[in-house]
Amino acid sequence: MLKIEELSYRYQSRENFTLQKINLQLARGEMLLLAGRSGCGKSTLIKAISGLLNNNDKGELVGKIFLENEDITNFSPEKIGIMVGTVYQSPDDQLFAMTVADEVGFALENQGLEPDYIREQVSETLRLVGLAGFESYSIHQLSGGQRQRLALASILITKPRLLILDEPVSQMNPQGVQDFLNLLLKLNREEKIAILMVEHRVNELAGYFKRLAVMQAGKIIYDGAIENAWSLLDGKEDVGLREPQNVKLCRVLKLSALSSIHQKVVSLIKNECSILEKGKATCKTCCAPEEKLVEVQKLHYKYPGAVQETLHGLNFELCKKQITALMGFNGAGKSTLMNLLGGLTSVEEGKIFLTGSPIHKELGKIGYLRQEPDLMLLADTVLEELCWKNKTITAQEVEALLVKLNLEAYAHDFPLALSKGQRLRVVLGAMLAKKPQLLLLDEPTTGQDEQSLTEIKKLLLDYKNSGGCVFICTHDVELATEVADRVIVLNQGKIIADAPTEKVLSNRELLHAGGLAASSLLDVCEEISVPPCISAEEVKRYVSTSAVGRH
Amino acid sequence: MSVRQLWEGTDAAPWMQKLNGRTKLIVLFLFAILTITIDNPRSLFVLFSITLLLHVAAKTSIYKWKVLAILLLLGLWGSMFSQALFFAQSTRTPLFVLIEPNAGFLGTLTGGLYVYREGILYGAVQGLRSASMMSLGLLVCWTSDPRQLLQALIAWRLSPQIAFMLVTAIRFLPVLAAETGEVITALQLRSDSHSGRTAVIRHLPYIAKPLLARCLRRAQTLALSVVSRGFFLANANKQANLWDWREKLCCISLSLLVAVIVSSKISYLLSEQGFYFGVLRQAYDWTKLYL
Repeated sequence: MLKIEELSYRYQSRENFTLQKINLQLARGEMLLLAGRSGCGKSTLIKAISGLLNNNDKGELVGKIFLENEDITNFSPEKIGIMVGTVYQSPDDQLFAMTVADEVGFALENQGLEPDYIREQVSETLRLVGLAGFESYSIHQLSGGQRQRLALASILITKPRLLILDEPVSQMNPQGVQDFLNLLLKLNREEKIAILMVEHRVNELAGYFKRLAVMQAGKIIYDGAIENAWSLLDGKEDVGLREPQNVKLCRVLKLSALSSIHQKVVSLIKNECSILEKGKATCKTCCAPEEKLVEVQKLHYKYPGAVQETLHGLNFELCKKQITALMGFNGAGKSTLMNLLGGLTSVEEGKIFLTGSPIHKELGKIGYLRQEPDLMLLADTVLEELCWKNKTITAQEVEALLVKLNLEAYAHDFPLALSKGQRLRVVLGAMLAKKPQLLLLDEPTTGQDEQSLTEIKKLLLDYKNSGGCVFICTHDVELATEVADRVIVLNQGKIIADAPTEKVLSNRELLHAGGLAASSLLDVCEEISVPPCISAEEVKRYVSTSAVGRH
Repeated sequence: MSVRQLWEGTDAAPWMQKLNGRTKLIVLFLFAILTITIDNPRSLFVLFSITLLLHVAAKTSIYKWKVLAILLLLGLWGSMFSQALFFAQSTRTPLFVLIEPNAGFLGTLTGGLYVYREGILYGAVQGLRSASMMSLGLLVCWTSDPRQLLQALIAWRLSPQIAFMLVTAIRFLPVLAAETGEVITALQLRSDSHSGRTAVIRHLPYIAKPLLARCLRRAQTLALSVVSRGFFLANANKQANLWDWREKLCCISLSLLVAVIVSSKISYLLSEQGFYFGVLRQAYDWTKLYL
């Protein structure tokens, strides 16, 4: 259905080709996951397929693109738009109309079709994406997940043969991701729409796609079955893929094959390893008096005009040299709690102490990185950003920080022109430059590729080891597993769990109550009859290292 | 209601939402001409009242009324107060003396500071002009789908690309409002002082850059999105561009009324310069009284 032949593209301002001899085919009704680190050319490839690179004189396009055997290389974007629909990362950026019905009908209106026909098609399309009855709603009344469905509906109404999705789930919570992907599967199955999805979160999507293509530096370095990818990409950490935990487990246990399918992993472990009996390592939760940094006592909060309280009498402590993850459903009160700790909202009932003093007197000791780091970038260079309103930092410290952030080569660059991961590191660096005692992070890993994630995790662990306290609000179970010592789960404004990470994230009931996705390792552990584990290293403690068939 | 919802119009009365973009833009344009043409404070007040009545008819929400009231009162107060103090034309009648001319250093420096009656009136006229347009402009923003305005501009044969750029600003108002709040919060969090953590005004000079950068990114994505949905197709918007005859009739009537008012005003101004025509005496009287 889609056939790309020897496609290359060079932007006018660049010497090298961003796309280099790309060859890719997609059959009708096929689903392909396209991955690769930021800046590898994925978005340029999408633009090329959508016809946005062919009719300008600002670059050089070589090669051919065929859709249903028709050469669309020189088609206008409008003409291609009828056959190929594109959904972008943020629904807020691509929705144009005021109401749901107007948004969905926009493309048909542009084709000059009859209003009655458009109304009929709008209802049908909204039903398809699960938004029936929302016709008269404002687009701003919808949740993030619903807005992404709306963006999808606004494309589906033209009945495209190919659907391109550019990181559509990067800003969704685990439940939202599952719902959206199930919707895509349904569309693929029932409407026979071919789907090409660009996404970093291969770990979460592996179960939904059979085929994976990986791009690196403008080239496709892998195109094939997703299950075969892991061994072929072995040792290529720089491609920016977030591997599924089952694959990581296979690596850690040095099994003879790498697989993301848990039945296969179980079978490999049973065949190649023996199970050991070992006690689990425990993690501290309560602080020693000298380690206690934050103390929250009977904290209640109710928004002005609200009927119900958002937070219901929270009590907990945060310690130095500890990373605590705050998790739970959207609307559970996580952001409210973060804002109270960050001093953005005044405490009305209850108390929050930082180093023994009321928190509003100690705000200078807190660094708070909000969900949209781009909106926190204010200066003209990275160097200025790190020193912005900070008289305490010395030139040597700035230099050391730049090295730590892996940004020394970009010290004089405009921060907003850097890659997404680099921009996040700049903001985090600006926070760390103020030497805070408490670091609050709200969803810091949204839309980050594996390499960027690794850098962020390293920074957080360094900060923790130097005596810092991190309180991180996240839906990313894997991130919490890797960096957090402890997890607090909020549900409807109440703490339903406050315990070591291993204990919380291995408890399916708690995960379900907190709207969190269970690690695939839990299934593996159940089947090989070892206590529930959430990381590959933990599983390794119960599995013998002496086995046959190692690779 | 969130800041974002303040800038979108699904809560407006359906009749107002459904009005053709051309009707809204024409009314806005004609009102602009009227507010420039008319100098009479009472007539300007009537115009201003009409815009408020339109808000009532459009069922503007209480929250939006509050915002409107703050903006209008601030504008009116600022205009009247500044003109009351610094009115420089003659004749001027001091109502109060704030600083006597012989009141020490300040008196010598300012030559006396008075509140002038004519200044208040002049300020009220200027304030009513801007208030009327602000009120009507917000009504159009709060009740219009960007598509409506876009279709209106294209129907007037404006280049689709330029029309898109003009209307994109309105599309981004809700998002921009929310993000402005977010940037101010970021500035508070990055402030180096305790007072900076709660201040807003001192951070205002820094908000433009991150907002602009975001807008550029957003505008690019939105442009890609509408292009791929065939917005710039030659046969686009045929159905959407149907303009109800009643709306058209209203616009024509209002245009004629404005033309009469402007002509009357011009003839009156010409008469003051010596181009006097006896047959237009009644028009001159009417203009002097109401315009």
